[in-house]
Amino acid sequence: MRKALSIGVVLLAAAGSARARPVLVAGVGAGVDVEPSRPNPAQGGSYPSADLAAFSFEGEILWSQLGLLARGVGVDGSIDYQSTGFDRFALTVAGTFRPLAHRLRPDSYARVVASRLAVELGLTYQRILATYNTADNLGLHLGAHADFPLGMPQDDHGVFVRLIVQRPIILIDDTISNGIAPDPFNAGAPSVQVLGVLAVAF
Amino acid sequence: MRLQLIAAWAAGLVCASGGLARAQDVTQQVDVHGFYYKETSTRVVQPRMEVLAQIPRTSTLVGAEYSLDAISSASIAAGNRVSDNILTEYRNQVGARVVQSLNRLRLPVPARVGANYLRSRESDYDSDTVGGQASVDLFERNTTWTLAYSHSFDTVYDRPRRTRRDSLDTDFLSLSVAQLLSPTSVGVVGFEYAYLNGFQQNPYRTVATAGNLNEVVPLIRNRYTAFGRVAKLLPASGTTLQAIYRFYHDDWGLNANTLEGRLYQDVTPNLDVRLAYRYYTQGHAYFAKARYDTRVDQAYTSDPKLFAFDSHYIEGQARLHLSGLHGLQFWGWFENGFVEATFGVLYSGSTFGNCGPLDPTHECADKFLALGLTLPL
Repeated sequence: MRKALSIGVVLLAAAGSARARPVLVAGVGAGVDVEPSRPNPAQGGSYPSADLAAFSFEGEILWSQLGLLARGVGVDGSIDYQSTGFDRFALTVAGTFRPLAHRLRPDSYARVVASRLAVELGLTYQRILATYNTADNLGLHLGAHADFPLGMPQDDHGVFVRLIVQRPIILIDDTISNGIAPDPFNAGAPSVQVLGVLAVAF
Repeated sequence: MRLQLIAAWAAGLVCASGGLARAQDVTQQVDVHGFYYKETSTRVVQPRMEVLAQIPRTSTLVGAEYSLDAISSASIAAGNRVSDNILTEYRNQVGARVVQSLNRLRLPVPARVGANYLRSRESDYDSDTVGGQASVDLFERNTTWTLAYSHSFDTVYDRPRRTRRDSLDTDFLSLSVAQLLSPTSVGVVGFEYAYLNGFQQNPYRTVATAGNLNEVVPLIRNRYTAFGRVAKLLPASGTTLQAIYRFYHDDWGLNANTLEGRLYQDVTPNLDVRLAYRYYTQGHAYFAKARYDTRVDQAYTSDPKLFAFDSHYIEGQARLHLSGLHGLQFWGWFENGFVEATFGVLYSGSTFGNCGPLDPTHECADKFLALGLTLPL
């Protein structure tokens, strides 16, 4: 956590000293959350994996190659996914890096998209709700995203669709009682989340 | 299930500040708001974010919004009258919309069309809404007609059994006209019609006066609303006055009247405030009774919103433009935006719900707090 805060402070300080405002990004969207198979010791075997509806919003401070990202993802799992029976809300703070930003001239749409490919690394906190119980998880965030501008952009500004693939790696895994499983169990993390976000850079 | 109502109420408060004029005058912006709603046994925290932007070199606006309701209810609100547990749950909602100007068609008058989609998920209620809208400006934009239609597909689940329980379909139609009455005044009148067909009761609510049977209400409901609004700007004092009236009627026999007045005042070049007062009164549905005869009555309800009551809503809002941040490191990035704080209290009459004479320990005042940041693009 301290390391992430330090990175954030350094990024903000760098922005301040540059005086010019970096690009800000805001976006909202939806997607799918893939929950892994979970053991079911009471009945033997395991619960099947499931695809759940996911919803997201995010903001990003974006410099030429680096960015600082804050993202919230809500997952509705309380009725469709009978083996779990809980809702998950995750807040993520991550640094982003565009490895091709300085290597490609954005003279075609494909090159613009390629130059904006980014990887994400940060921390994630998950608040998980069952009917009468809660859990709090903390972990690492791994992700990547691609930005698809709506029309050929003149600069870094404009509206675009962001396609995100992300996965948390839980370090502190709290237990939860959901009224379905006979005993409390670890809330765990989704296998992967795929999100589409309508975003604007300004 | 309950969240649908609370969210609609809270959203109505905020959207009411702009109403039709705001819907018609779409601007590019990023808007982040946080809402807090508190009533006797329920707390709702709702962050919401909306982006709206124009696709470059087109006259197409695209937008998306996300909101999350984090709700905590005392167990009695969840239908559990034995335990004192707190029920918590999330409701996620995401929406998308597109607005297209028809200027390229060289129509004789300016016109726009739009479409929207709204998807909402919570533990026992799914809702999907698709809609369309068309508006046309007449007489050098002094008159604007707007026609909108939407259809909602709702599914109700039985939370304890985790099974699908029933569905609700809603058709909504509205027609309104905004007319510039003078260089400093505008009037809006409109009519709304909603047709609801399906499961409309609360699946967890029981009716004590009907032998603790589960609530049952009719499947069909036709709802009609007529409204008018007049706004007047007083340039010398930087004041805007608004008066709003709504009349509601449905075929459940429920009539309601809403009167509202608003005062907008520029305090400084960067600060303006809004004061609002709303009075609401309604009768009762034809099947809402103090005691039921289960051998005769077909519908039973204990929903306080279907019984006669009145309410007073008082609201204050301050909006601060952030131009004062110009030149500051980091904070100066937001110099073109503004922040907004709203606080409101809804006083319901003693006949509403479980406050008043029925239970003096419960206060009949619901509180509403909203904080927001808006950044024009």
